[in-house]
Amino acid sequence: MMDRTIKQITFILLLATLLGLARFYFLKDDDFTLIKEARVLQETEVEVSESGEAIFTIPDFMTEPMMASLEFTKYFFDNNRAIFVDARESEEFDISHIAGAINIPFDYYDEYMDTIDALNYDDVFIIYCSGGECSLSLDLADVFFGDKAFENVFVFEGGLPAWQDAGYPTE
Amino acid sequence: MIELMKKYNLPLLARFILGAVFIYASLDKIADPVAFSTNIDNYHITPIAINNLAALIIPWVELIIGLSLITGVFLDGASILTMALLVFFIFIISQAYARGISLQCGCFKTVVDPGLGDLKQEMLWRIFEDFLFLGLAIIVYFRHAFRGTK
Repeated sequence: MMDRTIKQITFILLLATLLGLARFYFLKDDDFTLIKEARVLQETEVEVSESGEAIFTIPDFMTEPMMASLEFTKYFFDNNRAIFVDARESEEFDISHIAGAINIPFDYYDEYMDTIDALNYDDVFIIYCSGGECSLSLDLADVFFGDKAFENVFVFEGGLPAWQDAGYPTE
Repeated sequence: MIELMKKYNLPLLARFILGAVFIYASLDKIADPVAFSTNIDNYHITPIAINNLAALIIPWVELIIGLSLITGVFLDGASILTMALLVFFIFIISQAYARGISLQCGCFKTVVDPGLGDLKQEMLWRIFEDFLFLGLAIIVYFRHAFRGTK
């Protein structure tokens, strides 16, 4: 009885695997590989001034959103050169967020189209969420860069936890 | 209760309900494994490397067990796989909920409906729903007890 059940389970799993592989064959999507590769964003280059200060610059032409380090993010925050976008839900945003950030929750970004459309496409945007495993910032960055054609879109991967750990301003 | 179940042939009803649910749940995922893979990413529980493979295979498992439940072919194997899948779904949605991750579960549709409402509420509903389905799967597996035959 148990042997028969195990055989049935094995058969179902094997058949599903074969059909899954056949689906992959007919998918014809070059970006979809059997072994998925983690997406790694490029980081911007840092120059050091004569006085030893780090100077962060933005490439003239970006092909996808880029990664913003904590230092890069703080530099643009201090120089007031970027718009900070919090991609988390509004309840989380209300509890705490980077000082001056605006809230566009990725899960409901369709409802925030008026806000997005009112932004300047050539401003610098630094998008963040909860850091670590949170992918909302990257997803929203793809909307900004891909769908809305904003030119300078960065993802602060450390997110709010890294910002708070560094003791930088929140509200 | 057992008498009532015997009277209305509850195992057969459970098979058809579960079968229809699993077939329906599989179709959108089979059509769009790329979006389903993104749904799996959002759970942050499996290594990224295996998520495309999972997105290709899991929907077919759902479709086959859905068909098995309805036709009665490989019923024992299908009902055990159904229970295993449901326990897995309950676990991954619960852990995401407990960790404060709000997500579109990808349970039935792979693409988020705008204005769907509170995602956390929906996750709780999905967990409740999966427990109900798990109950039905247990009834299917132990169907002989409900029919009074071995």
